[in-house]
Amino acid sequence: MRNESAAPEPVRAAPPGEGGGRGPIDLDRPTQPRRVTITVDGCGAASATTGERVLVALERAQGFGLLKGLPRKLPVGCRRGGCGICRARVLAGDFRVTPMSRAHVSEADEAEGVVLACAIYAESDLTLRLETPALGKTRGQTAEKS
Amino acid sequence: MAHTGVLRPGFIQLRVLDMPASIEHYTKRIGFHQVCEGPDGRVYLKAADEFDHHSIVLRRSDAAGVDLMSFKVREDADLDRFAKRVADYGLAVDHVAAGEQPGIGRRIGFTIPSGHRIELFAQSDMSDPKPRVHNPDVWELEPHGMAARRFDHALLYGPDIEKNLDFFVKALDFACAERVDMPDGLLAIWLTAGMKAHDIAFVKYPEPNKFHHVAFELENWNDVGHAADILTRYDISVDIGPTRHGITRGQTIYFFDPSGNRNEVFAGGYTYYPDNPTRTWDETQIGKGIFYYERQLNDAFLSVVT
Repeated sequence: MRNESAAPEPVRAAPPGEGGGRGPIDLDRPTQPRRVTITVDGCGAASATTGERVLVALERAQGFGLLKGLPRKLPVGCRRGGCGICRARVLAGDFRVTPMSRAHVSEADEAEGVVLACAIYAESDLTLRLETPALGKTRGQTAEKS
Repeated sequence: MAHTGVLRPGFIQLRVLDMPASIEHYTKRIGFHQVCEGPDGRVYLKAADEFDHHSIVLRRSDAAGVDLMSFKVREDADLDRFAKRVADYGLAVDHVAAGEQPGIGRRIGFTIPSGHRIELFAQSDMSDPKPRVHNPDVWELEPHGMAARRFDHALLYGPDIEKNLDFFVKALDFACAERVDMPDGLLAIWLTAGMKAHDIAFVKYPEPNKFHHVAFELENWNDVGHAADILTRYDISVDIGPTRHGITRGQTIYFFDPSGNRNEVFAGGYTYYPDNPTRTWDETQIGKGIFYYERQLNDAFLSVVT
């Protein structure tokens, strides 16, 4: 069960820019990425670095057969915070957030630790639970029209 | 001039979460040029091989997706004719004043049954860079990035696409080049106003006004390969490809912009003449229709939209 006191305070920082996706660690960055562990509640754990998107680390772990407890294939969509398919709830740990579509994660959701796994970077070991939306269901507010 | 009425896609307005990253993506990677930034912060882009003022509009928003897609018509009087035809068909028509987007004349707009806003316009200023018209070189400014030559088409997701089909054919004189029919009904349509295999396409989806991809045309299959090299070099999120579509025959890659809006770069595709029959697909061969080499849909095709 979720421990309320463990709900993280999202650490907002500038996005790391290009890289941080599926590519190699950028050795030129002033701060070396650190190795962390991402645990998917009840499904297994993935080795990750602080310099990559959490979802990308989970994709790699799935490829290595390390997330055997997943009830279905890892939901992977745009990997850039737009489509909402990798919605998840962080149960423990620190992370930083890059832009996430408010159509899928409202401000209230975000305050509870709901994220898009592709749009966060771990700052410590993390534990999260996937909350994959039903097909065709946008969660939060929809965008205003111009 | 045999081609009258709706000529072709004009521009599409996309919502982006991070404007600087989006500008970098569409200019340096796709190969477009920034024409200008409007007073409200919208950014206007074009390919160097396009004459008109712009073809991509980026609008900063908290949610990714599409605001509207606009088609160019042959002459100003077409706007009045189509305004009457669309209203007679039963859709509410509104009017957008000239200059609401820089360089673009007056527009008419309406919301189609799938929930998307479609517009028509007749006049656009030209902007630089653009092709030379007297003794032209193959390019005036050498191509960069993926060397996209134009905004070509979009695929949109929403309900009631059989109503979209009826509307585009009866009110806007489009033709249906290809369609997919599943046991439970129409799944997808590819519509053209001219001789390309598609100018706009729709897939049935429970939620209205969703965006699947915007497509940019490349010169050939080698350029598709070069685009794939760029995607890996700059760690751009790839959906699928390089591969080929059975439907339209385009050679293609799907990937995502920094806000998660899907992009396609593609080359090829057949010529559609107005007297050609509609090509049809059923549930047994849809995998080959969408992804010709994989012969099956990937997980994202029917479920990942913005």
